Amino acid sequence: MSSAAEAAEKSVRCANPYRPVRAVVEEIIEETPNIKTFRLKPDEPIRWVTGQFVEVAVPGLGEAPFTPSSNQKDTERFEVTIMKAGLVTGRLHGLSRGAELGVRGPLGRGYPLEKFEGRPLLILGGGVGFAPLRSLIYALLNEKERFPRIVVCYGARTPADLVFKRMYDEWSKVPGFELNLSVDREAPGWSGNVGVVTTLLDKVRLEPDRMPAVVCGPPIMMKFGTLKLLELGFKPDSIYLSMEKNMSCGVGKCGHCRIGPYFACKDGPVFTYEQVKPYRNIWD
Amino acid sequence: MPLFTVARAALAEVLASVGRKGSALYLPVLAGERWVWRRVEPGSVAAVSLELGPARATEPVKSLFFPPRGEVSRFFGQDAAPDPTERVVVGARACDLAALRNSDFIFLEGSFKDGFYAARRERTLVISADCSSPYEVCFCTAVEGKPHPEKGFDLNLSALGGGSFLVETGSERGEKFVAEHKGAFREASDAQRAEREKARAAVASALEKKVAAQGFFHGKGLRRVTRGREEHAVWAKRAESCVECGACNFVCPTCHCFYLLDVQEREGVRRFAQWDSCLFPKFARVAGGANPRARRAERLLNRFEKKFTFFPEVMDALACTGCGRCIEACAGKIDLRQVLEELTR
Repeated sequence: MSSAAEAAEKSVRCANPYRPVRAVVEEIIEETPNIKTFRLKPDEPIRWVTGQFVEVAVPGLGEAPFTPSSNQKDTERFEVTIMKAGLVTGRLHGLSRGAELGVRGPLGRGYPLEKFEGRPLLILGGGVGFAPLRSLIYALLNEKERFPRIVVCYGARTPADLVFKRMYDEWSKVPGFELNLSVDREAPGWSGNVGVVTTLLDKVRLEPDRMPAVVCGPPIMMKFGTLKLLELGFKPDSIYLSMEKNMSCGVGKCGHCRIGPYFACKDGPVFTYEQVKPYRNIWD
Repeated sequence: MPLFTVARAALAEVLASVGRKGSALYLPVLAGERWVWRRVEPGSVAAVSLELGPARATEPVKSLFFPPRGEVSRFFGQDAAPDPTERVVVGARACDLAALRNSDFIFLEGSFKDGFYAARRERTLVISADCSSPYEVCFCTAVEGKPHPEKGFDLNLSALGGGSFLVETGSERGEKFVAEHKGAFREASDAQRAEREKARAAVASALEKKVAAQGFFHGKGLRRVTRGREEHAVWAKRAESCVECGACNFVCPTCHCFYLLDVQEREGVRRFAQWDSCLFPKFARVAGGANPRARRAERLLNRFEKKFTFFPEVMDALACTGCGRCIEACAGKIDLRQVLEELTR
């Protein structure tokens, strides 16, 4: 380890991992009827890499883990894209610009970009699970020359449930970037694919023997997406899953997010299917 | 290795003097029929006379290092600071020390260190003691343990006849303690060493015989015992009487799970780490509603996986010390030994 890395490691080990840093909500973007993106500016910059997560707390109420959906290049502020699902996310959805939150991070390990370098890459997303994948797309496009072909398959229940629509035109102009969308049900004005997102996998050109796949979405989609990829010949150690577990402390102490010998918060949240397949209830 | 002897009264006086200089003293004290950890004022050390009980205290020693609810941060401004109190814990047993190795692994290793736990460990002198008469529920000898400490202490006390202790040092800090109070300590004689070995062998052998007679352990070792037995009928069968009270977790010396509890107070929001229980239904539930351990049988399995498979995997040690506290505490009368017996039958 270099002395700089050692120094960084030491400063992390000396800092209080439970301490929230004040962050101000600078902007709120309505993505869908129940998903919003919050742009946060923390008092102390959080230098995260794509796939890592942060804990966001509503002071006095509680905290929940989110993977930023923005570009890791911006070290001053970051965005989290949040579906209204529980107590904390419910309260977050009621916030206005200027609200103060607590944030901790970066936590966990990010996507291993070096393993994607020079290869075609499949990105498979469902619903609000597209949030971490947008940050991955930003990171890939920051250095597009390293990533020759990026195939995105993204699905949501209806066209109104698709997030980040404002990005689609820009992405589609990038050579070697293929954006494929699907919605579960027919809808007026929708001329794209209809069916669960895995139906897209039969329609796009895949290169399973040399193509890593990154999957993030609701548990049921993660499960059937992974099974479909295996059926298509993707290798278990090239399927990268963002495991959604109850990551509370975020630093491998509190015990909630155990998967076999791992804590999802410190050993993940990104795992290969090869790593987690021996263990029980990984899709629940 | 030099061993020392110290008279009970002399050790009590040494501890009282350390207490008068500001260290907090914690000892097991008899309350009704149970030995419980109490902070003892320097003036009372002689009165409790270092009896220390026949075996481990009712509560795990972890509560002195990882309290049931400990402040870990504040929302903005001045952060919570580790407790600066110097402490001496007297009377921890071998099983307590084994459990501290598990807690040390969780709280001190890895990329992040828990500074609150670290400070309590660093500022505590641990004086352990041999068990003189293990309880009916004790089974440390079946889980790679012994009823006397061999490592993990600063000083260890073995009761000798005639009101004195044989003292073994287990760390530099322990050596320093003896050196600083050398008036109270004498070098032990060969006869005294032999007396300790004889007493230890007698206690260990009686415990082994009792454990064997109880018939719970089939002698194949317990590391990774849950592996390949995840579908065993014992989980559902024994989980039936679980009332999800969490007592087994709270008395377990190796259980380390907690949640962060943010409390709004007049002067701001404070954050606490509060003990949690993996038997509680929502322990592993995520906000979206998914719950990998929605069934009680899954949660009972999880508890055993953690003790017998997870810890051997990640730190090459069991996380069951054989203290038997969970057996005493369980409202549903789930006997961990019985579960293991049925699992390995």
